[in-house]
Amino acid sequence: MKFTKHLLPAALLLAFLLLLSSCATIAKFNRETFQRTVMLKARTQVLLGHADESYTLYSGKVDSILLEAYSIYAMEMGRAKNEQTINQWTKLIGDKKTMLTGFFSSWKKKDKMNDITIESMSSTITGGFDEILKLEGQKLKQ
Amino acid sequence: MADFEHLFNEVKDKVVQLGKESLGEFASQATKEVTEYLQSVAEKLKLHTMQLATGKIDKDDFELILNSEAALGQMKIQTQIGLAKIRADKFMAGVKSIVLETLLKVVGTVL
Repeated sequence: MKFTKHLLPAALLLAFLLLLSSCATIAKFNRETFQRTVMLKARTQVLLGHADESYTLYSGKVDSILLEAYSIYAMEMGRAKNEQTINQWTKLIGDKKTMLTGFFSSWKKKDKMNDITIESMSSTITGGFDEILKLEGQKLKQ
Repeated sequence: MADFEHLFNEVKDKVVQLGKESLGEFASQATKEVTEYLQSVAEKLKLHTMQLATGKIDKDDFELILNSEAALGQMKIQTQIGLAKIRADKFMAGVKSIVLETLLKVVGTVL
């Protein structure tokens, strides 16, 4: 009687609780990748402002930014249940004809970019960083 | 089993309330954001087409700008998918809390 009245419900609740414990659908917040992405966004914004100057003056900085971007990307690839963030980074740096990599390729090819393109692409690339940060910032903390 | 039914109903009511609070407003917010973004893309397309026509930008830059805009749109979609998952996880964390609280109450009754 005691078992049916009290312990059976408790046992069922405990079983349900254990089941729920493994139910996360997305990775938790990662402070390191978040902070590194914030810094990378700031450095990129500064560099994009110089795209009306000769590429050769800034090729070292371009390489440094791409290295950091790929480094963060590699970290994100190593996290489980992180599909959306990985997809975002792929869009930001994975295609040589669009976004950050596309802009740098174009700058290298033309040596100097025109102001209209710089303004438009700065806004779009910054928007890309903001999407990554928006998602990461909302992830549940450990 | 009357106690178990009572317990189940108590958990169920709390979970339904939690669902309304945590998931209800998401769909309209996501729709609003996407709609606003599509509007801004349409305006940019018009502007850049004119700039291409008047020679202010060349074809390569036009393609770079437009393809990047499409990539940004896809990044925004990933954000919304991710936010939906986060909301679902928050909801499940809330359900766990309710179940644990109820469990402790039951154990307390037994002891």
